[in-house]
Amino acid sequence: MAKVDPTTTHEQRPSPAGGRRRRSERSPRWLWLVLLLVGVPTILPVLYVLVSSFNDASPGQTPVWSLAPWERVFGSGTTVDSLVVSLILSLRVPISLGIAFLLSWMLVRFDVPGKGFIHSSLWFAFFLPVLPMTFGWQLLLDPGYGLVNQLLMKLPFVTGPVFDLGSIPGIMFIYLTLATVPIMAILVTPAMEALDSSFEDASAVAGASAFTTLRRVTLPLLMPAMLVAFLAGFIKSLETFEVEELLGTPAHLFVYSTRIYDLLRANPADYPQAMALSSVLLVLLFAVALVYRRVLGRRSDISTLSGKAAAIRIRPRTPLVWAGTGVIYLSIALFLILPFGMLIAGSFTRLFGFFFLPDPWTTRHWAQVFTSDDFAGALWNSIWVSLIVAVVGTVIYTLLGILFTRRQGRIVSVISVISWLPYAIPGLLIGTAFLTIALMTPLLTRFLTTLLPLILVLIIQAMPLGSQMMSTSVQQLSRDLEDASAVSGASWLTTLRRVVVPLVSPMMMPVFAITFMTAMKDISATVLLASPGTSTLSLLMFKFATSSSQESAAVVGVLIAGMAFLTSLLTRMVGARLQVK
Amino acid sequence: MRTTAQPNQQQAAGDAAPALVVKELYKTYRSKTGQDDYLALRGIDLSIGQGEVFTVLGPSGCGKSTLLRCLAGLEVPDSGTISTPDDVLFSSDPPRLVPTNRRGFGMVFQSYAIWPHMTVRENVAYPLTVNRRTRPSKQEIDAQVTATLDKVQLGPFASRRGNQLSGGQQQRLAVARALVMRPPVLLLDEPLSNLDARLRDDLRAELQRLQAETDITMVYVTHDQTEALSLSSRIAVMNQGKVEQIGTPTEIYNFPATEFVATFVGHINLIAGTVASVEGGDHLLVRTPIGTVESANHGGIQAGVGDAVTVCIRPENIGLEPVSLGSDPGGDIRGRVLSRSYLGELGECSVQCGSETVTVRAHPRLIPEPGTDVTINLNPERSHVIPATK
Repeated sequence: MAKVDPTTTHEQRPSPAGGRRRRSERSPRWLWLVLLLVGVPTILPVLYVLVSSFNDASPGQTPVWSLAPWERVFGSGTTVDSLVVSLILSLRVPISLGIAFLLSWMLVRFDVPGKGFIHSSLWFAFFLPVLPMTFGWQLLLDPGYGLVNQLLMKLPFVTGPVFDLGSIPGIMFIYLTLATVPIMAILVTPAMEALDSSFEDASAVAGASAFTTLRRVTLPLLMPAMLVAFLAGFIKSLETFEVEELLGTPAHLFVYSTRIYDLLRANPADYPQAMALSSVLLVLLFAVALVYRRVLGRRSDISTLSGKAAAIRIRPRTPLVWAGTGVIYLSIALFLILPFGMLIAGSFTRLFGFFFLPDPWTTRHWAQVFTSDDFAGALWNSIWVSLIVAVVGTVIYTLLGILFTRRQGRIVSVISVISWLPYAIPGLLIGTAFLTIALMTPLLTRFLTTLLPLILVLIIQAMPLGSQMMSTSVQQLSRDLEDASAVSGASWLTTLRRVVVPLVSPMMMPVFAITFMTAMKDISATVLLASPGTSTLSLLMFKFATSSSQESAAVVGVLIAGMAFLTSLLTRMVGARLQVK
Repeated sequence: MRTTAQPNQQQAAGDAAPALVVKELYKTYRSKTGQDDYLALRGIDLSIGQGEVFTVLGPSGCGKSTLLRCLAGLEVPDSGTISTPDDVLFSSDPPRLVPTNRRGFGMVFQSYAIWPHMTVRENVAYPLTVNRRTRPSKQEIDAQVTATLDKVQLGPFASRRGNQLSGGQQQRLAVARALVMRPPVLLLDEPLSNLDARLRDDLRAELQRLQAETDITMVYVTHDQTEALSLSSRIAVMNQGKVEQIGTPTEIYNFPATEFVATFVGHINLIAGTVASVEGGDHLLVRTPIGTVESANHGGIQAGVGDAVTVCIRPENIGLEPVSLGSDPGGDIRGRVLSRSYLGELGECSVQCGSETVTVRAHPRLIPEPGTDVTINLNPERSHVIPATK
């Protein structure tokens, strides 16, 4: 006879095997508490931004309700242009998706040599912060001192610099090669792997060439997954900030995120217009997010794409496979290793970008950076903040993941949606909202000089991905395991502690690593919240970069990139053992 | 270990050139370390005749699916040859490989592989539409698709999506798609294994009908002996990458060449013994723990006096009679019934004869109660000898 724990309420006992029925109509109080804890930091900034877009006064002053901020948004050529440029740059998502589809197809369906290395490279690119690598590209493609430009100008018919990173194609190139293609590949590959290869085998037997099979069978079947990846990527592409700020702003090329930053740092600052501009984006992003959620939900209706059939057929290496492999390795060398190498080289140059001076190399900048007070403080802050965010975050996401999977109910669904919202909110907006709310609330203002706002914002930022990953992990657990614990007499807390958590702990490692690195890399969410004493490594690097101390920026960049490399290695090693890809 | 002078053919009967010939096919799946290499095919020789239903029967992991996929071109063997009357599809020496999409076979997959994003009609039309050069006109395609769909009784479902069909319908659709090109050979990879028993029987009959109508050559892979015995012209029994025996269903069932074949197909009694004498060339007297047994030597194994052999006899081929008190058992073998089971159309019992237990099957009415003393007699013509198992 199962021992019933009298201290737990009826709702808190684990549900019977397979039971999908609703429990008590009255939701327990702790659930409301969770809703509040998750909802307030997430929704409040959104509401604040939307509301204050109609207030034409700066924070702290008496509100002046009007439509003037909106008029300024659409009246300002720069602002409207920034929105247009943002949309144009988001075209990198469909382009990357096409490339990622072909890449993923090759990796999954063919015996590409060194697959492990290629996967590791993709994960390295995923973890790598884009800004340091941009420095590397600047050394090559900057119109002023870029090596490639200099070499090309030596040719007789070349009159000016060929490549200009401070342009739409330039910025698109950087994101495409360093971020979007790897991310799309990482998103699409699991779907490609799950696709029952007998669909393609049947097409081959029916007489279709490999390309026809790709076009008429593989692509249509993978379309739902690709649509999901596209929407996720589209949302993310509208949120980027630091590369545009470094390359675009000097060339007077704004995207909406850098325009907001610009408006907030102007003298005088135009908060209301920044809020109105933010609202435009929020509305757009939420619309896309709704579509995304709907598509995601519908995917489960598509009947079994994953096969019970034999293992995926891996085809032998034909010359075409070798050619494709060559392209992949060349791309890795060109787009990953090259800029990274340049970054390291750049950190050792006396003058950034000038390799042909009489005595170009020095370790001076490394020494300077390491001995500066700023650096010590930033390093300490970064590690401290990232660790806390990762630890606290992982615990929270695990609990949320368990909650979403093991409980039903209206409130849980609401919490689930709210926990996903930060995905659609650009980091800069969260940072802006938190900043202004804190400025206006005397109680919170003094926290602005601490690391607390940074920690909070970063935990919120990583919540969608973290809770999703943990939720997936819990879903894979058979309910029988928890039911057996209940039948044996354990309370829900004991079951959680001794059965669920140990079984999902393998997934906690990648979640920890990703959360840690995301916090470490962040610039846009924290740039407005950090005060001089609470700067992080990334912000320090950003400051160096935007104030022409590029050598120092490169030094810090190498450090962060090195950390990213180690984290990606660790995740790959642990992930390989757990079949997490 | 193959016995010599097997009366059952490895060559197909008939004068026409065989539809498919496989010679010395080897395939190893190499592991990363080289220590876990998996030898999937270890020297397969087959010759499949035109219009035959040739079944490859064996347990999971015996290599039968690998063999089929090599025929389709979905796997590439390490060495050997695969050829048709018109072409060499694969050869290791000289190296030649015809890719899957140019072999022109039809194939039915275990999971059916019906494309869910296409309609029934589009699924069947697909093989006709993929080759731009030989693509028929739209009317011809429509006509052929309609005819094929009618053949499998899926005409009314033509505009349904592929994933809106039941299991049995999907299977028939898979067959239709494989047949629409009128291929010379149809490959089937356990096509009935995902269906429930009743549906399986129906579709098995359906396949038989289709084969009779079209006279197509079928290579059928299964682990189910009922399918193999009922559908096939000939069966190849595979085990651990090798073919143990090839023969007609009757030969496989009644005269298994090895212990594996004997035990894999149906129930059988295996009684070890030594040859006491050779009678008339094709009968052997074998001394066994249950007595001296006479058995025909259908397999033609070389066995002299004193050689260790195993006598095989199916439970239904053993006669059983209760011993009435005082009667003389004569030369028959005595035993006692240990247990009995009711199997519906048959009854089965275990009879203890000396140190051996013999399984007997007969009409349920004829099976005595446990504890009854009985005599059993083994019909020499229905017995069979194989070399002793180690």
